[in-house]
Amino acid sequence: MREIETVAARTLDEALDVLARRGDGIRVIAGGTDVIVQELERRKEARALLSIGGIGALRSITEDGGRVRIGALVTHREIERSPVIRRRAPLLREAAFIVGSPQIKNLATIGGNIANASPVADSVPALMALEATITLASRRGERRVPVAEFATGPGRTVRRPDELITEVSFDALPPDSVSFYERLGQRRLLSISKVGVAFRARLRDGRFAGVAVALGAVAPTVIMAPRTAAALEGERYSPEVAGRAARAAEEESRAITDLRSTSDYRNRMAGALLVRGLARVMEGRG
Amino acid sequence: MGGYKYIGKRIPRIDARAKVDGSLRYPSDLSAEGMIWGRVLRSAHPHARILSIDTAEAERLPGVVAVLTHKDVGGTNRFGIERQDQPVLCEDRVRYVGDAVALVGAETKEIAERALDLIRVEYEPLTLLDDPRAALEPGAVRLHEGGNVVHELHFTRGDAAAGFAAADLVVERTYRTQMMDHAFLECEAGLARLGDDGVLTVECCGQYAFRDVTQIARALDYPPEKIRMIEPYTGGAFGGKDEVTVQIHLALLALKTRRPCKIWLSREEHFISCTHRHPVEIRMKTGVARDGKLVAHEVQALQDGGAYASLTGPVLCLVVEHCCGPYLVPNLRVDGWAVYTNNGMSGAYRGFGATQAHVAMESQMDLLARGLGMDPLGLRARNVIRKGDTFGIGQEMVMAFAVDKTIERAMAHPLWRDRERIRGAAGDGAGAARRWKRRGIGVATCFQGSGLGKGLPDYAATTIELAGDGSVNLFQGTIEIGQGSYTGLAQVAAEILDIPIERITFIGGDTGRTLDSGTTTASRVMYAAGEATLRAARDLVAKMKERAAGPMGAPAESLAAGGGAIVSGDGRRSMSFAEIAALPGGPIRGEGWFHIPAADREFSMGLPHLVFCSNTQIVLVEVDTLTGEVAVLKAVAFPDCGTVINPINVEGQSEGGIVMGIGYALYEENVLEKGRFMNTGLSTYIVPSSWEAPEIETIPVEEPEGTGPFGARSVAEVVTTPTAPAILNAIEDAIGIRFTEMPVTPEKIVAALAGESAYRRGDTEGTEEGH
Ligand SMILES: Cc1cc2nc3c(=O)[nH]c(=O)nc-3n(C[C@H](O)[C@H](O)[C@H](O)COP(=O)(O)OP(=O)(O)OC[C@H]3O[C@@H](n4cnc5c(N)ncnc54)[C@H](O)[C@@H]3O)c2cc1C
Repeated sequence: MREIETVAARTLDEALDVLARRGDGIRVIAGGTDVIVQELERRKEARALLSIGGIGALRSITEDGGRVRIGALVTHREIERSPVIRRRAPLLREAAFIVGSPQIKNLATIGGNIANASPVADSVPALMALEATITLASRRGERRVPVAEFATGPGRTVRRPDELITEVSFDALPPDSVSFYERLGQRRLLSISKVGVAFRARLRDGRFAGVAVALGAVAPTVIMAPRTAAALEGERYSPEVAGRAARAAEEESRAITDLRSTSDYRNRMAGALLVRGLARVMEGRG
Repeated sequence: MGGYKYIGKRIPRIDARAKVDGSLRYPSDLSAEGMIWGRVLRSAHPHARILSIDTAEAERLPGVVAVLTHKDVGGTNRFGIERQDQPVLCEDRVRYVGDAVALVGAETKEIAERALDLIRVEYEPLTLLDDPRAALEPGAVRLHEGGNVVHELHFTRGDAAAGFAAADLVVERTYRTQMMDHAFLECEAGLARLGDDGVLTVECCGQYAFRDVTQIARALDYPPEKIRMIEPYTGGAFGGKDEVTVQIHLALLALKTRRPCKIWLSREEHFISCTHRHPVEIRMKTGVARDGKLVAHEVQALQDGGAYASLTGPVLCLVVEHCCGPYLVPNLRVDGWAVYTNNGMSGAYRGFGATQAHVAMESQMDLLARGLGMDPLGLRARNVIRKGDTFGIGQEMVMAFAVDKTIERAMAHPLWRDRERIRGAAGDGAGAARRWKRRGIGVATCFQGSGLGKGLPDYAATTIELAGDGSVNLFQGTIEIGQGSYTGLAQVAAEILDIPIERITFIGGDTGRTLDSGTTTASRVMYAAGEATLRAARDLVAKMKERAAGPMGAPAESLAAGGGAIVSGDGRRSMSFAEIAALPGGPIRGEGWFHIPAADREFSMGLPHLVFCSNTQIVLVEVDTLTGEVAVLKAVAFPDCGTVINPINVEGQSEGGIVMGIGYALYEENVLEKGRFMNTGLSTYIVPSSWEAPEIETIPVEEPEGTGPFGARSVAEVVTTPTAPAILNAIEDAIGIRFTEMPVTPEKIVAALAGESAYRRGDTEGTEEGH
């Protein structure tokens, strides 16, 4: 085991200063639920860690002018309990609920979930279906990147070494929306996602409009599923329509076989979860 | 029966408070002044020749105290419970990835770990033997001098061919059970220190402190009388700490460095080095007459033992002993082989071969019932072994045994009686997804020998000492591995002595203070150590009466123990235990010992048993045909365990056993590829959590056994065995598909459901909800 230098930033300015000076030479740690595991297993070997957990400014969920903003340090537990999220982005609440265990959720931040750029990250499909935007800050200024363009591969992102994720934001779902996040793990909770499906759409005269579907754990990054969304766009819900869209989802999913599941199962389940989720949110609406 | 103060009562664990407040120290909690940390260098290959080991660079690392290899081992350098074929530190060959090649002692755990990287071992890989079938082939690479067969067994009774010819229905299947990890909470750990007097004290996890002394002494050539093992509390074992784990390495480091030394395996190291549940391939062909009587049974079992013997041979004996289930089969042919491979290690695991045998047999029973159109429990009831029967390979049922009653109770239980209605209520209240849910109800009936079996030393002994304040100290050599037996044993003593449990101080698992009481395995502690404890308590009472007789002016025979005192027959005079302790004459100590009864004839090592317990379970599962997920909703168990000493403990065993069985049926598997473990952490080796635990009801069937304490027999293993086959049977009941390979994952279910996703089969339409 190694000794690792740690620097704790109390303000965003402090953190950005450190990153501007040391960039690649220091690794950001928020809740640490990915960092600690990766360092212990030596999948990553940081020489120094910049702890950002004490930056109070990154801890809040706000809603103004129809835009929901979530600070990078907001935990999955806080998301799960937030009335704003419950009302404005119920699919994100479902995603936050499923993450790890209560202990993990109390530590695991949304910024960390995004920055870790794992294809199995549970909050990311939901954020992608919400067409959320990430705010990256550095001494050079701020820039915004759609969540869908942030990860470029497993663990790889467009984040520059001196940048910190400060916020993720999205338009609140209008009241006539339906949405869900469905996922399968090797057991119900405290397991890594084998496949996850996030969906949101508005219902106009009983027809889907503005459909977005994102798929987790079926490609090197979380992916959007445009053809699946197109199969639903403008349609009225029926099991047949859902089945057709599910077939598109199976085709858009390009899963691999690993210890946790098989490619065949994952691809099928991309469709199956879409069907299950649609049945859940559409049936009983009359 | 009845009228007890302590027996049969829901008495909380005597060690619960200390475990909850953290004051009880588990082996991994131990530390000592000046302690060093030990780490083991494991093999880089599943099978290779060692050409050289260079420790020079590791030794130069500051903080490294010792780097030891086989050259530092004085004795046989071998261990193993049944035969000693496993090296403490490998000389010239490694046979699995957990093989120990070198041992480091360092000032810190981190330095020890870094030193491992600096040890240079040159290997020459050898042909990998990772297929147990290939192990039996004539040209196969030989893993040990005697060949690749660890043990084989062949028995016939009656005439199987004639039996099959007369059968109305014959069912034949091949079952594959997987390698399974014990997944106990506490990874293997301990602390050793060498006294100035040359006494080596090892405090560690384990299941038999006295045998650990022998194993250390033999391997290191150190006098056994100078080795003291202290292993009262272990953080879970389930058989996985029966074989030596850290003991000899701890002892070696302490002897060589003369420093206190601690080893605590990481979870990953545990996964690759420990003994697992044996994977067994079992082919069964079973014939039945139209009236439901079994007429013939043919069994072939091939068990993968892994790299070294450990308890592979005895486990095969139990596969064979239990291969007919708790049923009478007049014509039997059974052939069993257990072989060496480079697939890790397997050994003792709760159920010990009976588990694997019953997965196959209880599946067969369900297939037969289905084929005959009979009630599955009815078919079982028709064939059960009763007291007085000769069964299996010729064993005799001479002790109390009530498997018939477990089946009768199960038949009367609402979950079985109302199963049509309950099955029809699939997915009640589960929202829109309920249309894909299919419910099934399955049963399994199993039995299990108690104790080590014929030919093996199987005794227990307890001493109970009167303390000055009138309380007692109870000395017992077995180990509290979480099963609660210290509480049960204290209850036995309390009942005889008629003192509150709090007046008993329990001293367990210490070769320096307790008598050898045998293993903490094989469902034997409550029965054997319980009877020894009862006798020790009676002996103590007799000795206190003798001591008190003079001062009380009454003959000893007229006195009795009651309320913490010795009381005269007329109840008028009494002398408290404390007063008796103060009388001249020295310490008063009661002793009791017990040998588990054994059969007259020995078939093979430990085969057969004479004492048995049994269990029937009913499980309700819900299969999601869309995703292949299986939820176990309810389980009801009817353990036939003799008198229940403590209902909380029996329920605890039953509930833990059922959840473990759910893991076996649906989740757990050590995945190996070319001799290497693929899932070595708890994020990829999936054990069920509280979310996977069903509602559990445990209804003990109390059939007292005269030789056991207050009629107790045992419960520890038979509580888990029926669960997996009952789940397999329930899945077939739900979706009409028979699985013969575990674990039954959602992937397997979805693939088996005709290869078509549920929504493609049109299951989304025509649902029957709303009826
Ligand atoms: C037992 C267990 C169970 C888990 N279960 C799940 C699960 O079910 N679903 C799931 O999605 N995940 C799960 N995880 C993974 C993990 O908890 C999540 O990814 C979590 O959101 C990471 O957040 P964190 O704050 O702990 O990140 P950290 O570990 O602190 O950081 C993760 C990565 O993000 C970077 N980072 C963190 N914050 C920022 C920032 N503001 N700006 C730039 N970079 C940053 C770090 O440098 C690091 O590379 C589990 C982890 C564990 C240990």
